[in-house]
Amino acid sequence: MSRFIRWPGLAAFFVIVALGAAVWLVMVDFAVRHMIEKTGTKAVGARVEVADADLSLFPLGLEISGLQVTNPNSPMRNAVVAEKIRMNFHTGEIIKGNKVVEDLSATGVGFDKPRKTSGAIAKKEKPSEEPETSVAEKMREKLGRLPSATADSARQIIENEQLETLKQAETLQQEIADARDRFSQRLENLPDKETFADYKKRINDLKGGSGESGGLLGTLGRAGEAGEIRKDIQADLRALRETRQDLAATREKLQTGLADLRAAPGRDAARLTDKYALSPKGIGNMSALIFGPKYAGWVENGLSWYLRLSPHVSAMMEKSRETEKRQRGVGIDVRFASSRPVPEYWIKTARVSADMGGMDVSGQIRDIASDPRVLGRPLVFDFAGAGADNAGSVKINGRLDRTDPENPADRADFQIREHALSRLQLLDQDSMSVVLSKARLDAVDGSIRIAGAELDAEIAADVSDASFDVDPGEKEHFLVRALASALGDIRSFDASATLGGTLTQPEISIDSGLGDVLKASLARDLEKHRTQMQQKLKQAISEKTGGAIDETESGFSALDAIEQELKNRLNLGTSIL
Amino acid sequence: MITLLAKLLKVLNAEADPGQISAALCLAMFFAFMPLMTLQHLVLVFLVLVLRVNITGFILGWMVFSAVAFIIDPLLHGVGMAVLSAGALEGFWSTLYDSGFWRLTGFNNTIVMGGFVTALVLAVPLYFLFNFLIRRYRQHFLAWIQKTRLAQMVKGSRIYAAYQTVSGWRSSV
Repeated sequence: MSRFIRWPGLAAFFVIVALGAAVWLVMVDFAVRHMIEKTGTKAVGARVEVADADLSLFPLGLEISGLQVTNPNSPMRNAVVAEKIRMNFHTGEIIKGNKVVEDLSATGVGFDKPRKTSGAIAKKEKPSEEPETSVAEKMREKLGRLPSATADSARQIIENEQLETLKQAETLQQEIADARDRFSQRLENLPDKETFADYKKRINDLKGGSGESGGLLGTLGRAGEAGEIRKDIQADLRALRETRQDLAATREKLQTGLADLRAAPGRDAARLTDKYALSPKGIGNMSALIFGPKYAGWVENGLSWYLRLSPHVSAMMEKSRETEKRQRGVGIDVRFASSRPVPEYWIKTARVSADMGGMDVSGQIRDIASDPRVLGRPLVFDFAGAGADNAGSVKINGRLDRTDPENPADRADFQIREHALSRLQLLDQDSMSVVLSKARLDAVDGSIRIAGAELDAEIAADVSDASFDVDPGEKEHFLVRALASALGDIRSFDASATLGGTLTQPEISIDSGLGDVLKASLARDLEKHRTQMQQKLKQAISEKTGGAIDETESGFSALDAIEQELKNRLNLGTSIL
Repeated sequence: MITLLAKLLKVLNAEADPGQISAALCLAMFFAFMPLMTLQHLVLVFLVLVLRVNITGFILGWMVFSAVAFIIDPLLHGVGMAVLSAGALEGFWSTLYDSGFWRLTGFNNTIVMGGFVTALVLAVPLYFLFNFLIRRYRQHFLAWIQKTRLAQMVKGSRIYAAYQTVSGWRSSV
């Protein structure tokens, strides 16, 4: 036996295995922590940190403490924190290479918490691109903006605007000049003083020659020639009259244009008033202007996380479809039909306890799987929570259905009841900020559906016991006073919002009874402000365009001169007859 | 320190029979042709340590066959894929696939399967080939190599002297 067996080798084998196991046990926690941080940071695009990770073998499980996921859009805040996450693996499936978690519990979960240090990571410099407008910014643009309370002066406004009056004056001047040239040219071809002098001479010649030739034939010949001259003079006078009539018609048309030009400053003033002045029309959807920025921010935040995490879920699914490229020396794991198919990544049940806006929310997520097709079940979640002393409640449930990858359908429904709000910044513009200092959400019902890239959501809320703070900033403006006064009287209102479009180009609309109340309350002040502004604008525009209008009017003198010349020639021709 | 190193070399080179060296090289081929860490690797380490094979030969062979495995990687992948895709074996592989134990072997990996099958086919012919080559080497080339300048330098080193001393102990035992 000893001829083939090296007994000390047996001892060496166990020593080597024991040493390997010891090294693994010492290093594995560090390795797991490093892997979580590295993978998480890559997925989120900002630092993901873990205070401690502890892998246990009996039972096979992992405990993560102090998880911090930085908000990539705000590196000094954590998007998510968790005090402790404990998961128990399915040992048999782990051996088979499937990361199956039997149950996971996350406690002390919080959202949007401050960080001590920045969680930003160095990003690769992209080639110079046009700064991209954020999704929220695009949505806000569509909703419109509350006009600036510190409106520019009338002079500043017309400095930055193209005035229709000036354009119209330029056009009319050109038309007058064209008419002047056209009629001057026609005048040159019409009978003039010399023509009529010539007629006069010919008539005098006829009269003077009556005694020389004598006789009946001579008399008849002179009479015929006089008739010819008369016809010529009449034709010339007809041409002069026609030209005079054309000139009168042209002048009348141009005169109408001049009258219109004189009214143009008023129209410009009205247009610019519509654009710059606050009017009941301009604040048609006051609720969208006040609630829009906050709502757009929420939508952008939610969609950015949805879009950020979706590719990783898709990537896991792609991997499970064996479309990965083979690396040299690594090979491909061939999958065989299993009698009990299991996704490569699968968390059967995750129990989460979180603090959401002052409410203790807890619930569970079932079937978080890399390939829901294999399971044949969608991911479903169900959470409920209440504030301290049962002050308010929240329920959130929904499903992410990817069982048919070609037709993904996700849905979430939520209800909030009797929840107290405080210090919710609704609007933050340079000249004005609006804060919902306190309010009670009597009832909020919402439903969000995402089918592929198509968005569809509606939210309805009833708010009572509301109190608004309107801060005018450095410059106080009548609007801020009016708004503060109007909002000060509002204690309850309802609001509804819809979300449509696509994931990358969402479209939102907001409606609220608050808008109607504000509109009615502000209407009188706004109308007064609008009238004053229109008057100032008209005055400023008149000052700026007065020269152009005068210059246009002076162009008529040339036409008047032509008219006078035509009149003189007609008088001359008529006197000969 | 040098004495300790010499003792290690002596133990490693104790099994210097051509058959023991050839067996070590064949085990090294199995070890290197399956590049992923699997249950088989643990078994191979066990065999190398427990069976009286030449460990130096195993380590040297592992390095050489690892290089060979890298070069013939597409061949190993192709063989593995062909074996795992064979229609007649599909039911058999599916049964193994459902077993946690067999999944530890990584049998469903194309390189593991290809490397194992290739090594299995080559093991017996190579064993006899290595035996033949080692004998020829010892008969015709060993004396010549010992006379080379490199060999003389090695023999003149302190570690070789210590090795000789340790060998002497073994003779006396």
